[in-house]
Amino acid sequence: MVFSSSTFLMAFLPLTLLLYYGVGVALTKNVTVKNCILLCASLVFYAWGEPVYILLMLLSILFNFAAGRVIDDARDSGRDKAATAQFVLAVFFNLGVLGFFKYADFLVDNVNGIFGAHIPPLELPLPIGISFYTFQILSYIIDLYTGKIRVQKNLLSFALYISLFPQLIAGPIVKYRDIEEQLVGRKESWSKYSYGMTRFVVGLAKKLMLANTLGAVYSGIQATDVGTLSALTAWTGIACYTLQIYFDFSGYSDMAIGLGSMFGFRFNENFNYPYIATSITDFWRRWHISLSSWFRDYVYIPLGGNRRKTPRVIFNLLVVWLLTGLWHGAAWNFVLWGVFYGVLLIFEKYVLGDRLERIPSPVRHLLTMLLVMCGWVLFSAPDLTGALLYLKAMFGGAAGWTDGNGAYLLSTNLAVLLVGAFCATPVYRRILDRFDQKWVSRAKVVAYPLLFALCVVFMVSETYNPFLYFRF
Amino acid sequence: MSRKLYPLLEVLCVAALIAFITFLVLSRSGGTEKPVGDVASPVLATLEKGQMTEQSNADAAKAFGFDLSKAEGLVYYENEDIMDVSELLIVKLNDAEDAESFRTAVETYIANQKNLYKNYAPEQYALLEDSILDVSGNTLFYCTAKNADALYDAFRTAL
Repeated sequence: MVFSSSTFLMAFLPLTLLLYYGVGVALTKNVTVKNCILLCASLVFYAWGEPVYILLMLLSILFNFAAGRVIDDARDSGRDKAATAQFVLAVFFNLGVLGFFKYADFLVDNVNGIFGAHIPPLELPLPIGISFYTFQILSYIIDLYTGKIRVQKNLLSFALYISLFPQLIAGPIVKYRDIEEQLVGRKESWSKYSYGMTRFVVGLAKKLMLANTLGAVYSGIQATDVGTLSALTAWTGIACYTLQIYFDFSGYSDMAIGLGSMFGFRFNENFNYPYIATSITDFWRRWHISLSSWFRDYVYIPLGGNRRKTPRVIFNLLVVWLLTGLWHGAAWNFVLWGVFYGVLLIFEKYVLGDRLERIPSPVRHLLTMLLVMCGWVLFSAPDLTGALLYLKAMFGGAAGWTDGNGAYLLSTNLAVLLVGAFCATPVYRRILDRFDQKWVSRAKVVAYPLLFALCVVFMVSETYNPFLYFRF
Repeated sequence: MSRKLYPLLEVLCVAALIAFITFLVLSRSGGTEKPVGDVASPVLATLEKGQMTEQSNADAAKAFGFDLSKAEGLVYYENEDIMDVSELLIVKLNDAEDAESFRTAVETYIANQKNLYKNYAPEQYALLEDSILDVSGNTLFYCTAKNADALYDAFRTAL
């Protein structure tokens, strides 16, 4: 089920809220009842689109719950080797499941390509959200093994942590330690609920009004023979995609955080205006924060982080970014995308160093955005060849620098590009901060319902349009 | 639950996972014993009114270059507007071993369609990019349509 669908907005969400607040909060005031309602709703939410793969998620929940108990039991009784063996088994299980469903055909394709073999691909559909919930499970298993958290003895709470529908299929990746207490001790309030609603509407508007509109422009350009693209057309297309992916993914995160807040949870932020970044390092502190921090905590730091000698730190960074690329998809363009960022970060850290700070901020911002946009070409292309041909077109190597089609596309989409660029910065917040906050609050009372009504108009006039990050 | 039962639960989960994956892989390559009309019926019910009209087996053979003697039965629908690429094809083969040659024929057809529509009908091209082609044992499914996902779901359920 998609947040930006009428089934979710008109049936699933109202019914879940009614049950949660009517039965869970008002009638029983019992956290077990509230969690039961949320778990059932989450399973229905997942099963709506994945009637078969819900079994896979339930097996993962049961296995990891049991593994957690066994690790804890072994450590409590001083059997450290047994705890380590269980930990390795659990990590192997989770990565094995993820690897099988996400990377098996990639491996088969490459083996066939290299050795001329004819192994038939499995062609199994990717279980939606598997990359996200596997990383959540791993955060629990790793933190439990390293003694940072206590074992979860309640299967209901554990199942809810894995399957909680607001962030189940496209994040943010919530670490167990960040939500452990909220699973049993959260408090709902009107302020949390109203904040959640407004945050949800903002996310919905980002997705339906901006991301989908910009995405339609890029899809049209992608459908054109790349050999006929002028540089102007190619840059217009990738500018649209740059904004589309931000509004699509940050919109989803806004909706997830908003929904969480409506049910009394507090999820960490996943974005912080990434397109105002003045370096690649800065960009990755602002983009998909939950994934970056996951890799930092569970891969980079265990590898030694930046406390080792330079060659080892470079190796660590390359490993992390190779894995980041692979996490996004089983294709070479994603691998290259990850390595591209790894190399850029190493360059910033060891070649530019302090000199980066001496470059004027607008120049740094411009360079960062150019590199990020080149990165999105690798990310959005159907394959590596397509990406390289598109990059060639961006630098005039396909059909020259400009043409009538490029000028037409830019002029007809300039307004939405400018609105998108404006909304991707915190400028509007700063403008609002200058006004009397009493009036701003009153204006919001009118603005948010209007924005929601507009979203509904966009929603009913559009065909099915899932979030870009669903495929990860 | 007793502490000693957790390792057993782990083993059961792993066993269930292996069974689940085996089922998934086998069901992907299993095909069906049902007549093609029974498989197609729920798929056709998912078609929107006026979206496509039924075409003859000979039309399918002409469009895709099929050898009809290898097919037990087929269902072929298309939108008759030349500027609309929407199509639905379900073929049940006499022998699953012929599936690869039918798949290749449809892949060639899709590639030709893409070349035709690429530069002057981007929306139609985008539909072709998202077309679904799947072979399940002895049955081939191909669909280009804006609701291709829903039609494919109906097909998978019908098998």
